Amino acid sequence: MTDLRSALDLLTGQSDLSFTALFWYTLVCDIPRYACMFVALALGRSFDRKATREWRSPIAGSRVSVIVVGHNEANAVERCVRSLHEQSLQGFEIVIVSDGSEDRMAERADELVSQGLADRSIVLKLRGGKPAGANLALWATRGDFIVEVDCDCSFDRFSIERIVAPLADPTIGAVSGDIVVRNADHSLIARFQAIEYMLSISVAKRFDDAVSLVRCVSGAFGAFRRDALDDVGGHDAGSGEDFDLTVRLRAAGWRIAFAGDAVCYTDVPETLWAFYRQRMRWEGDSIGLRFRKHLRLMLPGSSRFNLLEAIHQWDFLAFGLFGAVLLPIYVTSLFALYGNFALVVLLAISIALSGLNVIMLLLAAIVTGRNVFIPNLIYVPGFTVFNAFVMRTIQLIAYCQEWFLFRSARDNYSPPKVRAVNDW
Amino acid sequence: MPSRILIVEDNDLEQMALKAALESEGYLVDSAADGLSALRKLRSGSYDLALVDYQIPEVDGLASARLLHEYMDEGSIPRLVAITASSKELEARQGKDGVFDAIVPKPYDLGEVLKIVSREIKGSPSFARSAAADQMWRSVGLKRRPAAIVVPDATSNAALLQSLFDMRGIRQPEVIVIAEEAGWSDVANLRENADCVQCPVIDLTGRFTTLSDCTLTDFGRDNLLSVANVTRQFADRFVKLAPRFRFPGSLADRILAYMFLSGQELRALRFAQSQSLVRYAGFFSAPLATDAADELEGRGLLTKSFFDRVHVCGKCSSSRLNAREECPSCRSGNLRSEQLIHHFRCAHQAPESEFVADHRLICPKCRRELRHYGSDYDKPGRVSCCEDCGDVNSDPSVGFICFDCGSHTDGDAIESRNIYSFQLTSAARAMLTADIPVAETIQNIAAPIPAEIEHAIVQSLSADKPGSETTLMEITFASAPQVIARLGRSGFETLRRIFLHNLLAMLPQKVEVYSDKDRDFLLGRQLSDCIRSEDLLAHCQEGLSERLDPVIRWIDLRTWKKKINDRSALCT
Repeated sequence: MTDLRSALDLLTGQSDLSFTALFWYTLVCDIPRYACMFVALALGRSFDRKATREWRSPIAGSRVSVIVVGHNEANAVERCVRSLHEQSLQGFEIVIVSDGSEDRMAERADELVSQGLADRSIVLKLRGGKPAGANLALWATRGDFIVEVDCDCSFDRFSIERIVAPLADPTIGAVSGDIVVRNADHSLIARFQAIEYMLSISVAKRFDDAVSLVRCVSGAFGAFRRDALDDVGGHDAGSGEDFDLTVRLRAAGWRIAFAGDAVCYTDVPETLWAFYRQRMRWEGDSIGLRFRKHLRLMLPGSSRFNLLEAIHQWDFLAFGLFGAVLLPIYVTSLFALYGNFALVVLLAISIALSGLNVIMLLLAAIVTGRNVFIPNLIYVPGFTVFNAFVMRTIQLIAYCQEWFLFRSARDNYSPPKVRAVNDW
Repeated sequence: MPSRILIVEDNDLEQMALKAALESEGYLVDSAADGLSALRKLRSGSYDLALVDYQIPEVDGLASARLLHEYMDEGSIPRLVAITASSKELEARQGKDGVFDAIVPKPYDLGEVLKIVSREIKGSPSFARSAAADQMWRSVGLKRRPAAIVVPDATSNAALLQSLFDMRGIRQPEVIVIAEEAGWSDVANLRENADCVQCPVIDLTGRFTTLSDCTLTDFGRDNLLSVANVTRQFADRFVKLAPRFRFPGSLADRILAYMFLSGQELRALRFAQSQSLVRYAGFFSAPLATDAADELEGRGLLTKSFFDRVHVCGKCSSSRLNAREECPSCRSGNLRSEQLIHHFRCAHQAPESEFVADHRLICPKCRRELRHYGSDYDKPGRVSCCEDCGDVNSDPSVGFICFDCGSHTDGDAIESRNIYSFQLTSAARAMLTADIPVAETIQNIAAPIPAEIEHAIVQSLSADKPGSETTLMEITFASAPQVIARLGRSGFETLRRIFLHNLLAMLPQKVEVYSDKDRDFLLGRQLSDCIRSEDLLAHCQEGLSERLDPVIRWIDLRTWKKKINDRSALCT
């Protein structure tokens, strides 16, 4: 107790300058993120209401196609397709692509077609990766609006109706849906991801939408205008194809929207190892696509320079990349300067961020209208530590592996034949 | 076998005299009173010789003979013998050369006529053919040419068939002959509707070898022997068959009788001409015979073994269905199958046709040329594209179009029917051979006189007085099988009723009529005085839409009379 009291005394006894010197990392890398979030929440309601009014206008005569591309998804595809049949919007076509599946997915897809639950299935004997499968499905469909979903997702009754509604605005090329974790109860890691999805998608994308900077139309649930997809040639090869497509659509002048009330449920990794592997891919792709494939978008003077995209990339550079790189420097310097007192500093940071996260959670519950506050409240301190230290560490490893070791060139998300020719 | 002679004579007295003389020599004699009816009869082709009076009404003798030469095959024209009061006049007529084979001057001597007739008949081509054919069949073990029903009626090789089979229609048929492919439906009708169960089917076309009982595509000794054996087998087994199955009334009984006679199972066979695509050996049709056989199986008379499963049109029950791949969306069969190409570098994946440009493969998305299979691109699968609605699928649907009614059925909604072959059980064999009657032979396979007439005969005979004697006449109809094949049983029965009505109206005396399944018995006094010529019978069927060709048989009642007299004697 004496140690704790002396630590608190030390914290409260700091001058402004020394306080800043002690907590500079949090003040630089965390607080601005929260500040942005709160702005989003303050603005979000009004934007949401306006958007809802607009989005419910009917899209007369437009055809909607839902494409489901999967590899070895025999167990998941039926639930996905059945939940698509429970939609308020009816009359859309469903196309399933079995991308070189070695399980019974092709047979299941054919059965769904013969039962009238899907309109057609295309079976590929050789796996070509999700982007190629989605491109083929795009060619095989005739919808004016294309909704891409993952096999392991299921949907609220109004999801399809609401995700295509923003496309009534002809300047909008793509709409991202909201993604909610379905298996949050299965493990602590899954619970942390549920909170993370809520804050970074359900809440953060509302803010992004308000400033016309929705970062990524998630591959799990996104709607596209066919003209927009044709404009950019559909998906490109390689992993992170959803983020890549979003960047290219925006660079081509299309607006990207977020439909917060179009809810899709998905399963997230339940073990730390599975989570680690998934994030290694996501974060690695993120840096590879931003600073290798699309570097020129953020370089003033480049022929492809795009201010909106540049802001987006600089934002990532400032808060994402530097945040991850500075974390070990900050922690190391804390221990070097203060010894064990560094632990007190880190604890203090965690407590402070937890407080902010509790507020975020409360506001998320208000914005989404879902009962998410009480069930998640006790996990907030754990989530805060996990998010601030573990996630950032994983990000740093992923960035390093991608930048120096070209990890994505070895990632089996894309089949070897595709990786061998991927040139960015 | 007696030869058949037609007397063409308008003078009744001379006609009767000639007829009596010729019949006394054992010939089968028919008569016509004018040229037209004579021509009609002669064109039936079943006469060996015609005695033609030169001066007859309608078309005279010479003209009739010339018409015959004009319109009949040389090989099937009977020998023509002219009877004329003025042979000089005949000889003076132009075009008489070679028309008549002989001329009998009037007044004639009956003995002379018989001599000429005998000479001409022996020299007639039909006599020669008959003799040769009889010899041929005898050499393979049959007593004579089998009496045949030939289908179709209007067969082009009638002359050849007449030299092989007895087609005069005066004997109970012993075989059914399919002479041309179109005849199979007539056979099917005969099998299922007429009393032809005892007749094996001989296929001359070679197209129905599995459905027929024997095949005779060439007349080698082995083939003839095989036909003879089958004919004998049917006849031998017919004798063993219980009476109720000899002229079976129901299809089920026909099937049982046929299976017993043929010694074969009711074997299902693929048969594209039939709507059900299946027929049973013996030409029984699949849905009808299957139902009847199923019922027999339920009664323990047949066992069944699986043959095949056929799809059935839900609308018209036809199995003539075109199974095809079709577009799952618009059901069109206009599909194109294409390889898919996956361009690795830009992830474009689409049908090959989108990449082909002047024998090169150019990616439509990134405009790069695809050069190396496996490095640049591969072909991960095929898709089926509908040329009508543009839909794309990996697997087209399967659908059925009915050839008969044109209706469409989805592959997963199509009905199917199991087809079985059937075998006789020992219980069925026992039933089929119960109550074996006295032995009957192929030469006398007519059914015995029905028991119900016997009492009436006895009563009538008992009241016989000189000059008013009981006579019993049996009428059968030679064309019955063909009429039944064309009009069905009920059509035949209608014609038969009209014929009997006509006949009874022309008879002055009281006549009792007893009708069997295919025979009518007329019991009356001195009937033979009234029904002397076949003209009367011909007259009775003049107004009918189909010829019935009644055949009369006088039943000899002398043994009955003797029995009654014996009994009377015993009583006194």
